[in-house]
Amino acid sequence: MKLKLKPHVITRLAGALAMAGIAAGVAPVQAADLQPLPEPKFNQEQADLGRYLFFDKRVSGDVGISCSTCHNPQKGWGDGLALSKGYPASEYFRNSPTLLNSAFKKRFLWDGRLDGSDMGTLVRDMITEAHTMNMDARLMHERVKQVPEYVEMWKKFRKDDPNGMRIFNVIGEFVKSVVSKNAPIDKFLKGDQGALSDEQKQGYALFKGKANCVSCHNGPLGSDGNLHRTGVPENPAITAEPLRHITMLRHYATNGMPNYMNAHTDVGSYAITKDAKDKGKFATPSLRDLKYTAPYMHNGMLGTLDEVVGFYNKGGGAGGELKPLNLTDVEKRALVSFLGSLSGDPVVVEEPKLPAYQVRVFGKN
Amino acid sequence: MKKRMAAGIATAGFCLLMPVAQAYEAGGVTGGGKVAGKVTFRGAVPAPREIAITKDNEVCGAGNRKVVEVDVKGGGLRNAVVYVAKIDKGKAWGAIEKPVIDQKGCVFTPDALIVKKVGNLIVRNSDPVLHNMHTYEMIGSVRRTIFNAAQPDKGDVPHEINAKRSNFVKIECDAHDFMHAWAFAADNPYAVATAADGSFTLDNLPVGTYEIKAWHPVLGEKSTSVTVSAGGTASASFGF
Amino acid sequence: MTFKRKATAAAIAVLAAGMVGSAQMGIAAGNAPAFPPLGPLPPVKVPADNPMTPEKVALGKLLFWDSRLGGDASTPCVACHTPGMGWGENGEISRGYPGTSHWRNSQTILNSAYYNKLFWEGNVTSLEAQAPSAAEGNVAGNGDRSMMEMRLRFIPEYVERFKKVFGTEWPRMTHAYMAIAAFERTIVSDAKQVPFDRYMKGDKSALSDSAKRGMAVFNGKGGCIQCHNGPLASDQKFHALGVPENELFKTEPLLQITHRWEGYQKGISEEKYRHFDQDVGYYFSTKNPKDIGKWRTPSLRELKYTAPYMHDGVFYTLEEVVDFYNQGGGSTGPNKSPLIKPLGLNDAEKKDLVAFLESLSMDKPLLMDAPKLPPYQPMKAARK
Repeated sequence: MKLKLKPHVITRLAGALAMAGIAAGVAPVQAADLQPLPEPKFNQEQADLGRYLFFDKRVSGDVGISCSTCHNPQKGWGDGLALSKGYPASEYFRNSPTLLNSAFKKRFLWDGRLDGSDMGTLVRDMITEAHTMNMDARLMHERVKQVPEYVEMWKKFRKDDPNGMRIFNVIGEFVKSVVSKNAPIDKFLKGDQGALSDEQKQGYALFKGKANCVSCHNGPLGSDGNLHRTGVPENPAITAEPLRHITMLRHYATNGMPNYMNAHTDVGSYAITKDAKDKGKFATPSLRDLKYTAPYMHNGMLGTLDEVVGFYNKGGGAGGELKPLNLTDVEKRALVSFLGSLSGDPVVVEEPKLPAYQVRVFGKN
Repeated sequence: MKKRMAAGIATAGFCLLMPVAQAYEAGGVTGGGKVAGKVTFRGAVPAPREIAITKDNEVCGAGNRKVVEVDVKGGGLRNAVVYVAKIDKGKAWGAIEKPVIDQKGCVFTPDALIVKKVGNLIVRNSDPVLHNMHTYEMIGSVRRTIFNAAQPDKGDVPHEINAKRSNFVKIECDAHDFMHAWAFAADNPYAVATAADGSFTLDNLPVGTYEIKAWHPVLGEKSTSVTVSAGGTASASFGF
Repeated sequence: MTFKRKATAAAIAVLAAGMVGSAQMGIAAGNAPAFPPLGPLPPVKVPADNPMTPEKVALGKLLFWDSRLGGDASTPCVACHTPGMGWGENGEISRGYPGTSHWRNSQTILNSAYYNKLFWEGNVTSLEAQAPSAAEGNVAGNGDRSMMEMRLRFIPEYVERFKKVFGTEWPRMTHAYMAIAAFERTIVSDAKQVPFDRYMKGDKSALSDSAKRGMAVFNGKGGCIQCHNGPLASDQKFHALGVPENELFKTEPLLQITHRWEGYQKGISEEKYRHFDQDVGYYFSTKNPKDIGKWRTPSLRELKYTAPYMHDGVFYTLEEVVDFYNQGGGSTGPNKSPLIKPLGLNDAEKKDLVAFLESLSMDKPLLMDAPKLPPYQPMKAARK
């Protein structure tokens, strides 16, 4: 799978124009910039059932975890850990990203290997993968059928019984509905000058100017949907903890990466493309809702936004694409303050009371 | 309810299969007495089974779990169950009616408990990991599933114990093969697990003569006869 | 499968008794088929591509006990094939992976090396093929092959052992299954410990009088020898007996889930399997309606340790089993074998038959302690 890098045009003029308070929805033509969050589009009836399944541990092989275990609404829809836990008896080797606003992503997963337009396939990957939920899809389908309330909810949008791939799509519809609201940046982009403080406005100017974050962090999510190498340092826990290292090498092996037994670093999208220039490249994450999603980066190595800005200021890590920014302390603080404006209200979804299996008529099953 | 072959069941040789009639009447006891004593063990104590802990190490610990099946200190046998084989009327069930078993640090606590033959059991998960308690009624060499309950969340879940043909219940965790415990499914409330030194007391027993048994999940069963007098303490001892 | 026909006087006598008995079963004496007689087991046949060595067997034993071969490290082979439970599981229906139930009785590993058809449906033809079905089956081990393989590679002791036994730089799952099969080939009855085998080898006092009478019933009036023949006491063919369904399928959601799932896995149309009110057995393999309710004949060795009996564990004791056959089997499903008829055994004959069946088991169960399992270690960099 070959990845095309879009050329991006960076101008300081764009920044100045934005500061002039151009009317809502009209982005500067030549320059990349942040954009307001669109309205979510999803099927409500499917999302209703999807919400139950999202919290239902019976969707995992041994009933040990649910989607909400690693994408916990109380923890910014991630899990607050540097490296996520995996399925019982496995551990993961990457950070659990937030599900907030994933409806608008161009790519899914840190190595960007799944297309953002196909939420159902992402859900299937998470549920059937050995190190995430280790569930056989057909067994999951039969479990869902054993819950009469689920069958009833299904009939609100389809005539048949809950089945196969469609169950993944249904959970996907719920995920699409998890969207944040009221981020100050959106109000600002739509014309409300008072939505950002002076310090935040200063930070925005840096974001588009001296710091040039906007070259990758643009669009409605603050992500270009592309793969970049910033040289984030390796997380030593991966090679120190066999369970994590096992998961990583197995991921490489099953993606056909050559020489996987000798891999001791997270090679990012190289494992997928096998193109040497993709070593260490990861998908640009969204900059929304960072208030809730520490620690940061694909391996959680940067714990605070101060650390993140510090990292970029020194030009990222070895082998990366970045250059030092030479920001002053005042400028760094302004940038951190601005990043805060991209966080909306906390999105709280309560776990519903999950219905039990019921006995069916054996012979008319 | 299993469909069973009617033909030939009701002969003497198949008493194992006959449901034991339960008709214990709980109430008050006045002028009762006690039975007290010790269960001892002689000889070489079998070494504990060692089972590797291969998952959830941050909760369950590392290395091997020592599953002690024969627990002996100074000759006293712990966790044998001493019980009255048959009694129709006597004291109230008390705490036996509300048993709770906890899964904590991937250990069943208590590791031996008394439950009613037909009654409730509260299963508690105090750990942040999935446990899956699986209880079996031990009928001869066969183990019949009583319940098999995946319990991923912390908290209490009630379950029914329904030991139809036997007094012996094995408790395992399907998610952790190193977790083991036993329950005694009692026909009457005169059943108690021995303490660490092997001692036991059955109290509030109406005056009379009774067959008292001591059962151990691995070592088997022994029996003796005692006569209880008002206000007195009859002594009974069992040696394995 | 080849049988060594031992032309001992006893065997001939037994066969003759069988022929006489067959007349009572309505088979013309002149045309009575000669069934391979029961006898001691020959040495285990070892496939040419998986020779036995002590090192391979030792490795297989470790893997047999190792729960890391499985999805969530909860369900090693030994969980459902426990030495202290007759190398089976002593439950009616086997437990499954956590959150699931299996749907059939767990069979013993003892003498499984002699079968060329494994599982109750006989759908797998080698121990090497059975192991992955169990380790990777979603209601059994639920292991992912590539994940299990990578786990082995982070256990230095396994890396060493696999290299020694199989010559590979890194462990491979196919070899793991071969090692497990090799270990299983050592789990066989010890003829010196089996009263019937001692009797056949010349110790006339090895069988009680009751068991001797029972043997005559087995070969004669009982007609058991028609299917339970040869040293394994199984013809490895498929017969329907009308064994009643286990009522648990009517009351346990987990069993109903597994029943439907298995129907799909085995390639039956949904329309069909959702209307099954029984476990259709051999039909799953052949899709031929005349195979509904048929099961591969199991061995009668080691029955003392492998209760309960039948594919769904509905009989707890051998007495119940004998009663079942005595009344002419059951009425579940079509295709009941014409060989199953009421036997007309009296109480004494039934008791004797049970005594004989028990004589096919070792005096003491074959027990085995858990081996010490090697730990994970972090992988050092630059391993060349």
